[in-house]
Amino acid sequence: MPIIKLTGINKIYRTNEIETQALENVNLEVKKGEFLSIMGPSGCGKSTLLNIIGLLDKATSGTIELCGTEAMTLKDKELAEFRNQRLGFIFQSFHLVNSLNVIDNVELPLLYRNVSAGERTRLAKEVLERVGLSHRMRHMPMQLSGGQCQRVAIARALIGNPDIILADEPTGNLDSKMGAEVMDLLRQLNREDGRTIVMVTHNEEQARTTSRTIRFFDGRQVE
Amino acid sequence: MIKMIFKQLWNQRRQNGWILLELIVIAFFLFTTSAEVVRSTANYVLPDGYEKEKSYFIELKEGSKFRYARREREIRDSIFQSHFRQLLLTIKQSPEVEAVAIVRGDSYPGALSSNGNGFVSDDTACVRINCPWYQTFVIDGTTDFLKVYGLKDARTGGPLQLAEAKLACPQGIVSVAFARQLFGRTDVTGEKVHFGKKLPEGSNANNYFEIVGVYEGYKRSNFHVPGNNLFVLTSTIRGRNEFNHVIAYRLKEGVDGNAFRERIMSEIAPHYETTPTAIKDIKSFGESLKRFNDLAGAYSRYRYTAVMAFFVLLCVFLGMTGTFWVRCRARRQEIGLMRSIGASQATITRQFMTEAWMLVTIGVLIAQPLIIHYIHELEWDITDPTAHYWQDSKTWLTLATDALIYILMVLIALLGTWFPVKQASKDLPAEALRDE
Repeated sequence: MPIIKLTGINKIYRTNEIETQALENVNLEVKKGEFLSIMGPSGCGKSTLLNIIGLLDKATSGTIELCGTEAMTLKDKELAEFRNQRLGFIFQSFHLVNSLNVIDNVELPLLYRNVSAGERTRLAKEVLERVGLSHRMRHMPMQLSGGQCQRVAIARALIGNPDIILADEPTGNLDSKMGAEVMDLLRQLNREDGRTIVMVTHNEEQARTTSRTIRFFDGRQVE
Repeated sequence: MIKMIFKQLWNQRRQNGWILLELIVIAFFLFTTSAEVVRSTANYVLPDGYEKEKSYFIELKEGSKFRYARREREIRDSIFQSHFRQLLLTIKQSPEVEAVAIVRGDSYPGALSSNGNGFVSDDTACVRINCPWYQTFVIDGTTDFLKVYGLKDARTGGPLQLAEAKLACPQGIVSVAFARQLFGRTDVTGEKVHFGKKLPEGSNANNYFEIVGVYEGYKRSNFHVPGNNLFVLTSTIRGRNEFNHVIAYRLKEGVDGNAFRERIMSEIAPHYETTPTAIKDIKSFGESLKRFNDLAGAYSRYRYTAVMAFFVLLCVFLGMTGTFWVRCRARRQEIGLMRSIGASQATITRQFMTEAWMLVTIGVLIAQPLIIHYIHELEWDITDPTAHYWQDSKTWLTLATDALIYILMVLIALLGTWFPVKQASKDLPAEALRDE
């Protein structure tokens, strides 16, 4: 049974004058434990697709089934709960809260799950150790390098123990060395923990290291 | 959650510093404009200590065709007193009237003049205070002025009553504030009070009075707390003085005050037009107070301060909602992130509103030294800092005003936060995260 199942997904952006079809009849199945990379030129709808899978955006039509749950029918509170417990996001521009230090940033998802402060700290320390940032726990995001910021974002995505990790060009803002480190970490998570990862990338080399690659062009899946 | 918000506020102290500065300035100015409104309103809502529309007084004047000029003093006094007693009897015997009293011309609430004196306690402390005093006249060993004025007993809260046997002069009844200030307590029945200064024993028997009752607060005007005043009971009407003798009366339940006034003016007043006790005017205590307030500009001043406070509040509202609005809109991306990691719209709204509440709380707290300094320097006409009216205490007035401005500022901050956050949290997280 696929952990992600998209059927007939269409996404149309409408303004007063223009109508843009970002995704056209996308059908996709991702199995549990798979590491899927999505490739394609800029503006082809990769990130839109990832956002729709991550329930951050709404499809104009079609159905989304995640972990056996029909996601299109979920209400705001249920959606929030679902994102919190089943999904982990890694963004290209990290999206860390600059007014919180590393450990507080990592703890955030658990805060919305009403986990006790002690337990939050324990789990945050654990994941920070795993991403190799246990010595930077009290640093502010502004004091970290890009690679370290992305590791913090990965730690934040991991702390809630999600079934699916969605990464939108996680190495896009990093130099090749740091990018390779982040990719190693993602592969490790996929291999050792068996986590399902869906990653948008422009990098052919990185895509080759994933278990499956799909390609998009003009909102259509071409491969 | 609160700990996390506090951390965020602290870590962004430089950016939040400007907002806090704005909040401190707002808290201070809101306080300075609201304090007088709070005080006046708090004074206004205090019970008057009497029923304004039940009690009336008749002001007298010398009749237009009456001339004393060529008569001896004793004869003039006798003429005045006989007419006065006759008028008093007429009013007293009217079926509409419940009680009648004779008081001095300044001895009713809202009187345009007042008689002040120094009073000295007869105990070893010999405390002296200055305050206005009312005078009422005891005729034939009796007076109904307690009923007319509706004074309440400080001990029981019920109508103040004096034993008939005690109505020998010189006697007086004093307000709670007077008792507290002069004796430091309220159970002062039986104590002696001297006018002006304490004279040696037997030198002047009329220089003192004995306290025969203590009444609850009695307001001299709407915007003041019931102060330290007293009634002195005088045994005789002395001489002839239409200005110093006023007939006060209380109507029976259900009687129309205006109808009775018209009846007096049309049926009784004409008989006295050529006497030394011609009727000049009849006013209820309420009308007297209104006249006093109008002449003193009390309502105008109150309205002015209230309008000023409202204007400041409006500016504060626009300024604060603007600040919090911009603050929330600027954090749209953060809201998108929060939603992507599992915060619901309600959680985000709650978090931002808690943050706004904390900012206002910190701002108001930091403004306190400024406020305390201001209130310390302010020359409020506080009559009795030890009185049991909280309105008479700078501390309580400060706390009440503080509470008011705090509530107002929190409400404005919450309103200024609620709209933009609600709006931003409704956006799809993908859109919010794209926001650059």
